[in-house]
Amino acid sequence: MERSPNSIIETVNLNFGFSEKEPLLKNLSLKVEKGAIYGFLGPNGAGKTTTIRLLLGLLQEPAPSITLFGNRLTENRIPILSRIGSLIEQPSLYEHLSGRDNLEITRTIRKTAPERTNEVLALVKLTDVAHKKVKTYSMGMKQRLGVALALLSNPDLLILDEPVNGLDPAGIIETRELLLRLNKELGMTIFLSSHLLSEIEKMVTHVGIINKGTLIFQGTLEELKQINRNAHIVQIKTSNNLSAGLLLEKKYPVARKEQHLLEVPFENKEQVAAIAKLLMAAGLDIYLLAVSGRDIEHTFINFIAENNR
Amino acid sequence: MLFRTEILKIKHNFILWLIVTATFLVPLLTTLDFIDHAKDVIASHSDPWPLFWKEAIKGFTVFVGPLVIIMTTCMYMNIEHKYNAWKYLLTLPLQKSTVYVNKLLMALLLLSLLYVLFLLFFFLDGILLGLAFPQMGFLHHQPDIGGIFYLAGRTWTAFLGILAIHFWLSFRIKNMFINIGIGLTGICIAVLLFRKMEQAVYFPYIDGLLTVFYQYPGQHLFAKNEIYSLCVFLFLTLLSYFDFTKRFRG
Repeated sequence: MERSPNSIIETVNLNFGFSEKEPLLKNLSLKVEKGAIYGFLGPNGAGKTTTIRLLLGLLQEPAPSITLFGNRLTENRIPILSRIGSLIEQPSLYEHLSGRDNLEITRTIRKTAPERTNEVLALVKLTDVAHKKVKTYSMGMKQRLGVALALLSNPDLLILDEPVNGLDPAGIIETRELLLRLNKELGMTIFLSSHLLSEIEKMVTHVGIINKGTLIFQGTLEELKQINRNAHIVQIKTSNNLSAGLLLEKKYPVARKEQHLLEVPFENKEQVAAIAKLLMAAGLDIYLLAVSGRDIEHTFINFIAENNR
Repeated sequence: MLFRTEILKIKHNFILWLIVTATFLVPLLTTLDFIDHAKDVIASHSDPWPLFWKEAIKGFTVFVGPLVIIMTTCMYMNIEHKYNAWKYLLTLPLQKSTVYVNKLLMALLLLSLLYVLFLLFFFLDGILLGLAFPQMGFLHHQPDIGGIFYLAGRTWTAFLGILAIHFWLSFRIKNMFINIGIGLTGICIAVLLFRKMEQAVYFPYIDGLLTVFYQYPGQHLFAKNEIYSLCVFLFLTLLSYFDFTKRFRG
């Protein structure tokens, strides 16, 4: 694969596993352009955190295949890490210390200017509680302090693992606005993971979807929306949704299979008729057969469902 | 610079309280024992400092030394585990060797702080005894500063083996209590082996006891058990350094 001069993150056929029999990542080729907000999506256990740990050098890549800022990670770990701010899973905070002390620790290590502590505290709106011990902070405040730690060095790249996980709606909106501001005003490239597209849909410019260690989609949000516009689903309720689900799975990619509702993507009206005939032939009573367009979250779920087949 | 952040991490932590309490307690108990036997001390008309020191260093080595060293090392290293901070620390632009060296220096500083405070409380208690009971003679005699520091230094060296063992275990075992449990087992075995000194010299948990009970006063700069403890420290430090820098991923 040709290396793009504008790529901030690039992996070429990245493979990783703790044992050869069970690879966690298979030929993962990511490309994150400068200035992008890249949403790395996938269900739990898809390989998102493993990828992030590899990008940050916490796990050893078996063969050199990760390039950051145009340089190989294995050979340039320290200069690369000095340009990255990161937040992996839950923020790593010393809860017996104050928010300001936590920032001071990172600021000292990163050798940034002392006034930067107050700047990032103001940026994440924690100035008033900076003197309090972190153990008294709410989940949202801890998450914001985690982001503040990542921002201390004014990094070129921000890597955030599930940054809105566990936040209430207000916290999600605050985080989103902050990240959008950083991207627009400071030109920061942001790579963030999530298992819910709806949580990050309003801020990302690019999307990568990973499932079972394989990248199944990579492109702009517009490209994903384009796929969405061409797709429709039929919602089904029957007298026995479990049997109906098993029956439909043999012929169609079932996007959602729950006890009260089934969702099956379709391409034309003949397929809807065929689905109805199949269910009737199996002796199932149909209570609902509703055709609708999908929202983008369904497109994401459908990608995963199709990949799981 | 990194070392300053390590000092900041123990702020508001129980480690400092443990060190202060433990080092305060031993000279205090020795003082109370002297008050209890005040008549005997006064009747002896001799320099009380050597006996006071002998009792204090024995108490320190038996009751404080191994256990508090194990606990402070485990608690200090557990800060990163407890707050899930290893992964964050290792994603900062730092050489892993720098992180390791600073952690080890801090563990050694805590061990040294234990001695500094112990000696401070020891001299303070001696002076207070002298003021409260002038007949004991604490203020009429000079303590053998050189001898006191020499023996303190030897026990410090004798404890290095234990420190190296638990320093390594501390970043490999997330649960601090397992690590402390291993230490307690080691101390119990040391007490059982104490009577069989010839074999016990190769068991690091007994090295401190051997210095104050069998090798006192020292004939050479360091006794056999202290040299052995130093070797254990250097060997395990080397191994744990490679383990940390090459294999440890947080």
